[in-house]
Amino acid sequence: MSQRALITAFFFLLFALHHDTWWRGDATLVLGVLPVTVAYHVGWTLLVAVGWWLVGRFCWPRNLEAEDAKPSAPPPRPPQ
Amino acid sequence: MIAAVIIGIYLLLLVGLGLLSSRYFRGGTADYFVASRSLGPFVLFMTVFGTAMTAFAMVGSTAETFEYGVGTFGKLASWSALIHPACFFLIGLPLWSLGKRYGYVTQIEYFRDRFDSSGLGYVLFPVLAGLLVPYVIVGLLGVGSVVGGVTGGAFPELFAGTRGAIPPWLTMAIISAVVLFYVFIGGARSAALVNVFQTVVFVGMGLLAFWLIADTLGGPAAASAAANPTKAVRAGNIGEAEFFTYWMIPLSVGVFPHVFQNFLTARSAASFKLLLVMHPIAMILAWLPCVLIGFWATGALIPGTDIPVVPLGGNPNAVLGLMVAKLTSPVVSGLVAAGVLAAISLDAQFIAIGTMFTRDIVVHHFGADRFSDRTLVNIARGFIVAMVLVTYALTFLEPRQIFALGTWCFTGYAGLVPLLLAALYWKRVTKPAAYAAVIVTAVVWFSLFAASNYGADRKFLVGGMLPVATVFASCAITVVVVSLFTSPPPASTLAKFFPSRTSPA
Repeated sequence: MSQRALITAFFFLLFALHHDTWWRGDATLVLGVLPVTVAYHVGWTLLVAVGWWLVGRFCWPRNLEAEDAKPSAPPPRPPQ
Repeated sequence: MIAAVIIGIYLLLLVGLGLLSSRYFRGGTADYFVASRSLGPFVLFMTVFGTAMTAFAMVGSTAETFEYGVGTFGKLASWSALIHPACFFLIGLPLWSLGKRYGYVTQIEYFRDRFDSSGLGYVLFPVLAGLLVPYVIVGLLGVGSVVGGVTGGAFPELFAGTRGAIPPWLTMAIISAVVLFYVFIGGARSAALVNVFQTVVFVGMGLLAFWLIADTLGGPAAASAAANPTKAVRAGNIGEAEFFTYWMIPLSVGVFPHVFQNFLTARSAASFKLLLVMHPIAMILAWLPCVLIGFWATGALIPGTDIPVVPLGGNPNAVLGLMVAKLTSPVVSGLVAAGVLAAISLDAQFIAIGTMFTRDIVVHHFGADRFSDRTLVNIARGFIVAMVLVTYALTFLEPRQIFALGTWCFTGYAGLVPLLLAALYWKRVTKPAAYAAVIVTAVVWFSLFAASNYGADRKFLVGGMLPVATVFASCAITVVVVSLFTSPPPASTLAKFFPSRTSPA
């Protein structure tokens, strides 16, 4: 399995795991402060940041680096 | 009084920053509209994050948590942490590349070129610009409610009708004038520099408020223990289908005209990498303190009394202002109000409105050679003033809850995402499909908005789901069905937009 496919699968897994139905009625406070569903989503969000770091590291579109070297085109001219 | 003085100092700082950044303004439309495509990773991240956040992030999240519980964090903050960077990567990066290659400054220029249709721009303009109006209203209402909350009693003789608080109409007028000032003199470059400062201020002040309120309430654990436990869960506060469909709301960031313009200010593709990683972390820093303050407000009492900090039946938009005003010092109240003002960065929206009108209507209709560069910048400024006056007048209508109004605005933009994705990734999408998709999206959105009594019915759902699901599906089905029943786009268009996937003619 390619790195790109693994990272894509990681994001699909995160998407599926967002919906924490198992804690929808649980009022437990993690460390006495954070409602458990909030604590879960904070952890989930940190994993999302890891996922985007992996994208920048392993899945960055190479053709865009070539684009960087080119000068910007002037704005398009409307039809006369 | 102290709070009002701090707010005044903050506004003066903005004016000063505007003047400072104007020294770097290079003149001409390229610098005014997209800062000559020169911003590096840090400024791009701070600008895009600051632009994507508004009163929604501080005032709206606190109010929504107070009313509907802590599911607010999951339904918007964490979904946005995933979906926003996905939009930056899948939509922003390709559009940045196309913008650089073909010189686009607005989305409409791209759509016109992609679908080889001048008329499409005239259909898109009222939709994209019109949806910015409620967005700006959200910001202005947020400013008005928070400044009113923290300045209560400061001017009893001057503003007797609002119990001495600075009235919302005055706050909204002042903030509009200040933002107009620095947008006028420096355009996108000025707005970007001010946004860096504003993002630091609003995240920092949110954390400061969180810390000091927790301290007054006996620490974070005591504050959470005293909060209403029914607000610590989703059950009873939000349906499961509704919670799930919130993932579609942050898609709107892919179509926001002002964020599109932010994309174009990037110096290089690599500038986006920091944005992708830092955006989720910044979402936690910005939203978590406000969500917890909203949660604590459900049980917080004024120290030494049995009086609730937020009176029963009070305006939810005022929860943050009340928590700060009654549980911290006037100095902190002023600093937090400055933070809310910083979160409401209306500058990017103002610039986007002016840019679209100038380039997509005036230049497109009258021709590029009809006006000088200087005249075009002035036309943009004139249209911005007109839009601000209209928007300001609309804030005098019956106020809606910030979260609800913002959600409707985001719904409209998110509904157009299928068309944008098709334009970027599907060669078979056609011009008639683009017209049909814009019209169907606008009609479905407006019908649902009207059915919700223009946002007044805050729990308006369609089949248990948010209206965005219906709008999004309508657009997606229209794009696919109409494309399959109409002629494919010409080979020249495909060669231009899909060079590596199209055989040479």
